[in-house]
Amino acid sequence: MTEGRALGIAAGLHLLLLVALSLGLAGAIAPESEPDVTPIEFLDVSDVATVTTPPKPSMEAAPQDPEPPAAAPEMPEAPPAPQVPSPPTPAKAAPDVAAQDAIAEAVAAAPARQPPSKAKPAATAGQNAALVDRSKPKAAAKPRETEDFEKTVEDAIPKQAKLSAIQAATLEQAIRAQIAPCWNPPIGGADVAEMTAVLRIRLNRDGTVAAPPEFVSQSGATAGNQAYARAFVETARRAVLRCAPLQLPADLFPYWREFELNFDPRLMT
Amino acid sequence: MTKALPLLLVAGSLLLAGCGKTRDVLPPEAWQPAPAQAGTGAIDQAGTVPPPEPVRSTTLAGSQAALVEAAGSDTILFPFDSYGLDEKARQTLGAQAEWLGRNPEVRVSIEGHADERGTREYNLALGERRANAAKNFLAAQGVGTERMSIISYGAERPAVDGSNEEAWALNRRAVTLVVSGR
Amino acid sequence: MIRTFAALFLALIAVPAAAQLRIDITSGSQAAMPVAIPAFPTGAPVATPAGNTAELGRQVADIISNNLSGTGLFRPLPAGAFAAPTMNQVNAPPFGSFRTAAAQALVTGFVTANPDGTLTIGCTLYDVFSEEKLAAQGFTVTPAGWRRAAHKCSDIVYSRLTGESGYFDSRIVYVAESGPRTKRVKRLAVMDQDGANHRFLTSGASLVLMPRFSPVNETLSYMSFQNDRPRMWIYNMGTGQQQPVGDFDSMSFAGRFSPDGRTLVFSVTRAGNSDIHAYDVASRTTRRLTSGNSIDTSPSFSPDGRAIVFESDRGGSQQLYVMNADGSGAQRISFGEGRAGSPVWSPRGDLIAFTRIQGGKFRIAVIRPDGSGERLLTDSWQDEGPSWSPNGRVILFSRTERNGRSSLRSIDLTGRNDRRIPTPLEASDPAWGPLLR
Repeated sequence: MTEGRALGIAAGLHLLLLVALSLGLAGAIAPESEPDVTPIEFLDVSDVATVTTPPKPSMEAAPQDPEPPAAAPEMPEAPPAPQVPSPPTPAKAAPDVAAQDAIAEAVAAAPARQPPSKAKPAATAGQNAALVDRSKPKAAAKPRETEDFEKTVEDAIPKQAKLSAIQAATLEQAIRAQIAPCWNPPIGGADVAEMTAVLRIRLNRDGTVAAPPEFVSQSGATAGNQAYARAFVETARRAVLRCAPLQLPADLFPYWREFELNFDPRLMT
Repeated sequence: MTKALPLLLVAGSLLLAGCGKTRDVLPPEAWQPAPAQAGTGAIDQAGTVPPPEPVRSTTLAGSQAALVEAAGSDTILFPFDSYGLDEKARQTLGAQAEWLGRNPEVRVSIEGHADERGTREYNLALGERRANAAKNFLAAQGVGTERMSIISYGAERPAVDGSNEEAWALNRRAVTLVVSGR
Repeated sequence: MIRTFAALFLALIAVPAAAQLRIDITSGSQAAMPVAIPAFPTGAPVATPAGNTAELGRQVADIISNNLSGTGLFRPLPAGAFAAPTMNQVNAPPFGSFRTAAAQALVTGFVTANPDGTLTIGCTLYDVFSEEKLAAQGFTVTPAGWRRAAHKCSDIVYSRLTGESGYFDSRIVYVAESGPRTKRVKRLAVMDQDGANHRFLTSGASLVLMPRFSPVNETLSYMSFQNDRPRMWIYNMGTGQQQPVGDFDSMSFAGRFSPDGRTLVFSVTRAGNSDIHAYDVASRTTRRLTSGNSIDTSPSFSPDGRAIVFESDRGGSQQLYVMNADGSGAQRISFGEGRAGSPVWSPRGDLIAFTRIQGGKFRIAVIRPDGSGERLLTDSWQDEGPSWSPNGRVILFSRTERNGRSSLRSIDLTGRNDRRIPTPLEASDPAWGPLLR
């Protein structure tokens, strides 16, 4: 299989995926996004902004990624979603949205917009109908690809150049944007200022978890705070399970099929 | 205590006497028969009610009222978060001391109070300081310390209900109360 | 077959490369965690003095919901979002329906009546996503004590999910207020942490202030103006026995027990000044810890019993100081604008709560014992007299509004979840008791 062919297949797949996603997302998110916009309390907004700045020029800098042009027409659907988290911190929201859009276009990571819609259940107290609705579309929206196809693409990609800095930043951003809203860090615990936890995440191609998040390491745990340390790791684990399936660029699957998350709430306290 | 007891008894009997005097309403049975015996429908002599005897209040020597009359006031006021005595407070206390000098049998309790704008513990301590400041001044004027006791109510017993500067000014106070006399 | 091998081989190569991706998650949601707490099932409903077991199952779930939502950290989902598990499902609940309702955790259990007249209340906590049983515990109670089982279950859920110990099976003592401000009637009252089982302890004939629980038993200390002699008393709620503390001819006030309950520290006035004294409850002997021409008051022990934080105006204005338990080595810890009073050391040890007075406002604040990290938690006209929950997470205090009305409130130490604690009358001087045994 030549590299050119692989890329072609990848591009084609992306188009397919995008169409499927945009259809699915349009159906899934549009009706319910409106009422959920306001009440969300959501802290990662400021964080997103800082991390996002580098990838901004990515439009030009990602020549080997063929799909941005194809993706562009599809984009208009999505932009409203990233704004969801903004109300609590309006001042910071505007730059974020712009930044996030830039990324979105660069990666064609339309799915990255899913997280805000997931965050809403936490904020809208008692809106039980909305909650129920919410969880269904995710499953339905998942595109199904044939195993063979997956393998072919997968075989092809590792031969490519290493993940570029921009791609890495973009991927990190997409993952972060989806995990953070699902994480309820145990702020207020006596030892929260010292504690972090690292989990290894293994995902399937459709973004579902392939295995329970695996504990890698933890800092700040002492003999005196075992219960807290355990609860801390569990909040991290729950964040991953709660946010799955993650929606990430399929062409970068080899890079996100397994990765580590370092949960660090110190900036939040 | 041995000295105080007779004094207390005297004060008690005075009090009772005072109460008896003002209570000049006749017991019910005294006038019940009147209408029953009125055969003609006219009220006879036995049914007439004499006008109430006049009662005029008199300031008893050694009483709270006598103290107020002689000294101008039983209360001194303090600035915010302070137990210092200003000129007016000194004058009032000076007059109180003079009166106490003329009424050696009188014992007083000095109550210290704070306004509501302090923590509960601090207000209790501050009230104590205010009462103590008044007591020290009186002692310096020759009032025997054995005749004076102090108590702090903190912000628990304001003189005036209100959450404004005027009310707080009136509530930051020390009050000299006659606890026993003649 | 060959293809599979190739794929596996490739996967092995790919994995290490991909594993290098490590992403920092430095932000999260502060929204409350959605929790499902359906009515606890029972077998066939059985009548008990506390109501039939099916009704109790509903009430137990209600109490747990109320406790957890009161923390601000959890959001119990409305009962209609899912079907309550049946008795048979308690050990294998249908997780799907709870996931659909977006619950992250499920609290369930059961209520059964025993032949001897007692009740057994089971309590199980599940992680809805991992389908893992996180905790399970049963409680046998008398019908009169069923609420405690619900509180204990709440404590299990809370501590398992937050990693901090619970505080629901505990009581609050406070001063109930009535009448005009110039002739306020103040009575000691005690109630469960959630306001249930409210009881007045005194008639109101004498002015009473600042009740405080012993951390180890059913004993209170408080200050009473009985017979116009303002002084400290110790009251045993179990036996009804009470005794004055020490024998001072001047005022004693602002008492607080040591963590082991053996010592009571408080202030005694002398010639207008207030010094901190320590009273040994067993031997009834007193030792003076501070001296000098200042107001030293509001002493509170550190949880290890080695240090005491107190307030003093020795530096010119009311500020916080920390000294050794024997009275030596006092160091000022509060600086900055305004005054600082009524400090209380957290049972967790990491913080001291106090009343910050500045800009015409009284606010609840926390500060580290070394004087760093001061944070204001409330913003109102007059908030004062903080008291910690047994786990050092929540602060109770009293709020007086400009119209003179006073009430009890609590706030999470993060500064969130400022909420009113309902009381039958106006209220002040709250003190949180230890976890019940």
